[in-house]
Order: sequence, then structure tokens, then C-alpha cells
Amino acid sequence: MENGKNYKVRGNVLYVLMPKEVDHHSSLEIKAEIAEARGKRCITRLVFDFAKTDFMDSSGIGMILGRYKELTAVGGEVFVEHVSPRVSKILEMSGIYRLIRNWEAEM
Amino acid sequence: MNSSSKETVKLEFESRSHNEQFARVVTAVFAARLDPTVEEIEDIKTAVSEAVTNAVIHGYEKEEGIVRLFLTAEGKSLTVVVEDDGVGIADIRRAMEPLYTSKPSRERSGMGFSFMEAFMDEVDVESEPGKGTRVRMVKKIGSVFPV
Repeated sequence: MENGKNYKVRGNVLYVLMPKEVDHHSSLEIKAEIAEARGKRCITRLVFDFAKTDFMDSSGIGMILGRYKELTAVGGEVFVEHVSPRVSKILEMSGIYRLIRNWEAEM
Repeated sequence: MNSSSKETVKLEFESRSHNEQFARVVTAVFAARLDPTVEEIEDIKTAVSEAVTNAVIHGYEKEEGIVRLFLTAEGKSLTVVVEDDGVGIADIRRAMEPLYTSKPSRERSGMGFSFMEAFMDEVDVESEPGKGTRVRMVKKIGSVFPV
């Protein structure tokens, strides 16, 4: 996104560019990167950008749920955007759309 | 592929997380011989990823072990077996319940077996505590007419 990072910050919004494949392995890296990005910043909205992603399994759902708990603990919210049909299917099957929303719908 | 012939692949690899992708890719390439749809390939990749991730995270936890992947193509059917010699599962029925996880602190969604069952036509689990776990999954290719 910028400075060689997979995230960018705009005000209190953190955008995370998700990798091509979101599995257990890459979820650990994404989690670490989000922790680095949040650092001492006051992030209240986290947007997962799935523009590059064509694969996701339940490990990705677990990672998103983990961030959802962190964000809601500080009064924040979690969103997704640029979701492919396959990723959307995984998100729908997990029931996570009850907790997170589509960022495009907010604009 | 000639429908009367049977083909098999056997693979062993260390229980490292980057091998989850390796297992998915190998399975997808092998499954392509059955001429599946893109969606069928994605279903198979997701199920394999879930089974191998279980072996890596739950089967071996902190120590490293060997995960075995067996692939069989016969007729229009793909059979995938994922085996580990890890800790095993004491209560398989509970482990397969949606949203159940033995490792909530590790951010596991508890959806692994649910996804395997949703994306494959058959899922059987055999396990013995202290010995290991064997997950056998079957996908019938072309069982649904494309719309």
C-alpha cells in the first residue's frame, strides 16, 4: 500500500491489504502487521481489503474475529471491502457478516 | 483421464505452516486431472487446507512432526487423506461441532470441520489420543450440473 507495508492509515481508519491466500500461515503475519500498525495510534475502524485475495479458509475467519474483539473492546468497528465471490461465500458461511459490514456500503 | 484407471499420490512433509499452501497446491494440480469446475477446485483446496492446518496446529501443537497426504483419483471421485502422528482427538464428535475449538487463545474459529463437511461429499475422522488422527474426505467431481 505505502512504504512497502500492507496497510495504510487515514485518520482513525486502518486499511489492511490482505494477501492472495489467507490461511493459518498468512493470518499470523497479518495479525502481527495489524498490531504494528495500531501501535500507539487510536484506530477505531479496521478495513480488510480483499482486492488481491482469491483463497481464504477458517483460519482467516479466526483472525478477523480476533481483531473484531480487539476493536470492539475500544468501541471500534471492523469492515471488509473488495470481496470476491469465493471470499464472500466463506464469510457468509462463517456467519461473520452479523459482526462486520461492507466498507463500500459505508461510503 | 481414462475412467477405469486409478491414480495415487503419497506425500510426506513437516508440520510447518507454509506447507498448508503446498498441500493445497499439490492437491489442486492432482484434482485437475478429473476436470473439475473452478468452484470444485476451490472447495477441495479449502477442505485440504482445513485438514492440514488441524494437523499442524492441533496434531503437533509445539513440536514438529510429519503430515502425510494421500490423494486418489478414480472415475470421477477424488479421495484425500490427511494423517498425523500427533496428540489425537479424544472426543471427535465434539471436535467436529461448529464453533468448537480446543484453542480459543490461538484465534481458531472452530469452523474447520464444518468447512470440510460443507465442501466435500464425505468426511470421516479416525483418531486415537497419543497416536494420531486420520481425516478421509471424498469429493465427487461433476456431481452438480453447472448452472
